[in-house]
Amino acid sequence: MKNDNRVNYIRIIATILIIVSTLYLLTRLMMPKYDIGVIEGALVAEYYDEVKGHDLIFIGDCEVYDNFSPAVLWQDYGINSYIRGSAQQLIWQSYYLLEDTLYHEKPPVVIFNVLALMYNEPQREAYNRMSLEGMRWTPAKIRAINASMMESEHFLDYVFPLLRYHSRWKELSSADFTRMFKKDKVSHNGFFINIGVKPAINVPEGRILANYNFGAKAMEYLDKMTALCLENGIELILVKAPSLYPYWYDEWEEQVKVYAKANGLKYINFLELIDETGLDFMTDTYNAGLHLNLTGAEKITHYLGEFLLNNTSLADRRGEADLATRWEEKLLLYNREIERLSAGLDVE
Amino acid sequence: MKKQMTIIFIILTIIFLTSCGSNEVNRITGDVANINQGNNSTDTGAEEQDIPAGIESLSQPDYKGYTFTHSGTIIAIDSDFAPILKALGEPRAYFEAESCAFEGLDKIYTYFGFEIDTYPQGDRDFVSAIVLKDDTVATNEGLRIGSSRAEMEAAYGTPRINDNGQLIYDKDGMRLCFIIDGETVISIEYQTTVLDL
Repeated sequence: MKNDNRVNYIRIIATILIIVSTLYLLTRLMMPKYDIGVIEGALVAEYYDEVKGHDLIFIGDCEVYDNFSPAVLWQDYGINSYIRGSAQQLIWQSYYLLEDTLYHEKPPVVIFNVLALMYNEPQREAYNRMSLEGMRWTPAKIRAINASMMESEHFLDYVFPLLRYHSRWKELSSADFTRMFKKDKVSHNGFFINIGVKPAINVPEGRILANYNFGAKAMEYLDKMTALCLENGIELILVKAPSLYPYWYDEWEEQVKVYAKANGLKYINFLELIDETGLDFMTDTYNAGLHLNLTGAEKITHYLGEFLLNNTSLADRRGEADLATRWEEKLLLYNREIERLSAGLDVE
Repeated sequence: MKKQMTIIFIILTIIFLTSCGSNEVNRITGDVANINQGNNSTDTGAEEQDIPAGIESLSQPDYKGYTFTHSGTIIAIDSDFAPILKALGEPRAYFEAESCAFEGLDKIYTYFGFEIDTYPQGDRDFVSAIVLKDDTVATNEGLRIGSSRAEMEAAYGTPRINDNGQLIYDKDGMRLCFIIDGETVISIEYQTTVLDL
């Protein structure tokens, strides 16, 4: 009798193990890999492999991961930075990514790009997924999902992604199998290198809006971000990257300026610094003014590096041997990638 | 053990076969008719959507929602843009923007008086928005920039108001959006809802 019971227990445990393992493997297989094609979905997860202790964390949408180069900030200014950006990262996602970051480190300075203030509601499930799936499970991730879900989304689909992605079996490729467990890095400290050139021509003017005020939810999360930084002794700096499209309205600019002044925050609008940074939208953008290419990103990063050393507590850390060694390796990869792109292997 | 394996098989089958819900996009696949009537009027001024003569041969369901007509070309939201482009000819200006992260380009074609936005799907572009820019063009129901709120409500009825303060008329999975300043229409935009997903 006892032996029968033992055998039954073993069978039950074995069954559970088989089910769980199978579901786990299927989940790994079915989930988008994001290291080829739409690589922006890989950015958030890459942060966790980093050695922490950054001086500066960027948070925001494509206007951060395309426009600021941590490699330049290190190489020329000795600032150790990382970009926690993702495609169309909404402000509540930025806020929870900041909370998530604080589980790992407390950077002296955080930079938030303000374009996301234009959105007061979630926009698309695909963007939500790219910002949220890469986050590790913490209370911050749970809150981020709850704040981000569209009506058609379900929390359980984030917990068990197989529920959402099971129909991908029709489009599985060999890469889905080979990259189930190990994926190549797509960013350089969160920065996405692009060396293509596509001049900004015929950039449309902004369309008339019914209401130019930022939404209440967006402003609520900006308040929360300001408070969180204050609580943790972090200097929050607001920036507007110099993207010509989507259009940045004067009314929006005024609201950010007023907010920054009222809360004692520094605010840099790079759209007003075209001459100072030397940006040329005929050569420094890879997609007609939406995002900067490498030369454009390096130009505004130089401006930012000078600004940070002159106006914040950040100091040049190039003298720190361990950090310098780590960056030496990173710069090698960064320059190798630029060479590879320049050789025309993957030019936009 | 057979029983357990059967249970595993059933669970996995259910997971694979359970639908996530319809991901069908509300897209029009029929060709856009170019029924040149010999004038450039875009104002059909009808109470109901006025399909010009000559279009009867086309299947009516191809024109879902409110449509805009220019030089005899009927432009519907979510319709394939290639035949429309062919009918309208070269735009006055053209701008293309990569979809943030996604492959393919969102394109903006500017014509005198209006703009057409498209979104990519597969190797084709579909109309995502039509924006009337000035009073030289009008909706098929006769509304133009500068019309009054009363004229708008006479043509379309009472709108709903979205969170941004736009006045919205929903029809067949698209929306026609107005912005009013005082009592005057200052913005008219036809929009897809496909990208809301």
